[in-house]
Amino acid sequence: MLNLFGDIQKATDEHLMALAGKGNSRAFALIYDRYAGKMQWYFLRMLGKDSEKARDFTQDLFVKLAEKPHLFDTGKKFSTWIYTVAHNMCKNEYRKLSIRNHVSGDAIGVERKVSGENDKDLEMHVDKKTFEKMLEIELNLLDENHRTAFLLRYKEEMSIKEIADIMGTSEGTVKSRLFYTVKKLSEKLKAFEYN
Amino acid sequence: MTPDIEKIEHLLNAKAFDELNVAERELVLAHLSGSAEYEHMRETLVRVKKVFVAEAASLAVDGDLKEQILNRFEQNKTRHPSLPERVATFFQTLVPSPAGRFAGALAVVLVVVSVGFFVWHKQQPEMAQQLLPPATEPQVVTLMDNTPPPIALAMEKAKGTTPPAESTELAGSTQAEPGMVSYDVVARADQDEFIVAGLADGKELYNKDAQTPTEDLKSPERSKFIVAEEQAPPVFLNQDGLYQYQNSRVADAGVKRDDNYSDAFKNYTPPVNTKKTEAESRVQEKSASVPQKPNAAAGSGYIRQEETVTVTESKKRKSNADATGALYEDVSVTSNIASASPVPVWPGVEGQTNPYTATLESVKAFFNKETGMAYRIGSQEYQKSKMARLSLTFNAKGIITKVHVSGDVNEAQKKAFIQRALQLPAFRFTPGAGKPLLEQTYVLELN
Repeated sequence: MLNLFGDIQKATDEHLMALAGKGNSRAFALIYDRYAGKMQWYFLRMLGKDSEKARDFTQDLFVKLAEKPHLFDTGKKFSTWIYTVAHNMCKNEYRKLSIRNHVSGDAIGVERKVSGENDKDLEMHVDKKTFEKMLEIELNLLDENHRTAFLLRYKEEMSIKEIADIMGTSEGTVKSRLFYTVKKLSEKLKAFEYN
Repeated sequence: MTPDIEKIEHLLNAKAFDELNVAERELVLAHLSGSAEYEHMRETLVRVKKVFVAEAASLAVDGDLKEQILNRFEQNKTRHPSLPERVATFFQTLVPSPAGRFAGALAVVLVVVSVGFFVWHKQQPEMAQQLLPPATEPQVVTLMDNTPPPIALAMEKAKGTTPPAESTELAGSTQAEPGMVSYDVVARADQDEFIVAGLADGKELYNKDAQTPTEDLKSPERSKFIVAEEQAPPVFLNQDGLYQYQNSRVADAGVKRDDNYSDAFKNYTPPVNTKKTEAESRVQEKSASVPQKPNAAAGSGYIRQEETVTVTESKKRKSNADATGALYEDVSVTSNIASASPVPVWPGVEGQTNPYTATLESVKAFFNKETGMAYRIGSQEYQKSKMARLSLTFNAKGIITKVHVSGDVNEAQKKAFIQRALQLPAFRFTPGAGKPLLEQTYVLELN
């Protein structure tokens, strides 16, 4: 049994959820502390960097969890489960809105030196901030499945299997999506250099 | 072919393109256009991860939100769970996994049944006795400590008898005696052919004639052959660390242990050979050689129709989301055959569509079945698990003529692989699936 005043900090997510299911507020607060930031960042990236919407979605997610902590099966991995819920929330939102953000590169004032007529000859010298903006543009242009796989892999460092479970698809599909996303992003961003 | 992102990622994270070895470059260049693309991907991943980490660190979660959520949590924990619920939750906490809970429940049931049977047995001893199986004498087969290894007995009996090259069995191979574990000392008739094939000069020197005096084996030219044979691992090491050779003529030549062998090999324990007897093998092979005709209705033997199917899914929105928030459920799934074309089918490897891969899959299945060793290709993270590459070369008769082992294995493991490969029976090529005219090498990756 855990010493509630000490060892609970070291408890696994699954154990904390089991305690939360029994009404342990401290356990639930710890779950919130561990995952609120991650989920808000995930929603921010998945919903076109709309911070208001990201906050609302985070709130909805944890309200559901607060009202029905017993919905989580403690036999499963909590991180996979909560990201599955978040993923489905985003999917439902996309279906409702059918909106993709398209941001023009010119809109952010990227300075270009045209050295040839061909796009491949374009040479851009940008600073780090602009790289981040271009990364955001390119991520937003991605299909949501590719974007989800990319974020879960390179931000949350999840395994291929976990990502496949969250997205309800096969590991091979996840691998394929990841590979081509990385390849495409590197192609799009290779013109950028740090100053 | 789906690129294995895990392997490529590992390389991108660990090495610049110039630092990749040959195999790694081959892997990378199978999917990328060149070193420039590799370096772009490498740099992109590094920079993207930095951006993500910095972004997450700077993200401020609303403090009011936490208070609001915790208040909602407090409001919802008004119900006091009943005793059964508390007990169930207690066990759920102790044993989180469903499998554990099932095992616990099963254990409780078994205890109850056992107690009940015990009580009933006490009350009805005669009836209970009839239900219990009769006690049997335990059968124990042990190797008697001071008994010489079976192959040594076989060697003794084999001296001066018909040479093994003309038969598939060493004359005088031992039969299992009571209290002894029997080692299979059957040698393949073409065992010598295999060894010789790896040594061009030895082929001319080797004489399968049973009457060849053993003194000839000591000649300088023949010693080359003997050295080559010695490099092929023997059947086993006895407790003195001396090799017991299958070939009695080599043993008679007085060849001694090669001190270059690793000490680790001293502790190598050969597996008890559970290979079936030759008669059983032949019966099985005979029945297996009857070709499978999955498309008997078409009357064309090894041809099946490969269909391209279009799948249409229809979903509807649910009135309420489920526990994970999913709002849509499948209504119908329809499949329509868009096209069909005939493709060849090879028995045992029906999924393959070209002769080489059909034979390779057959080789894998054959090796796996005969040795019990697993093989995987590309399923392990590169360089993170021990992988051996086993190259088997067959002639047109299905006889292994060469074995080569490489990869992340030590000398003792290499010898173990080679030994197992040596003991393989002849491989039956799938009819029409690329039977080699001369020799064909197949590469298996094992772990």
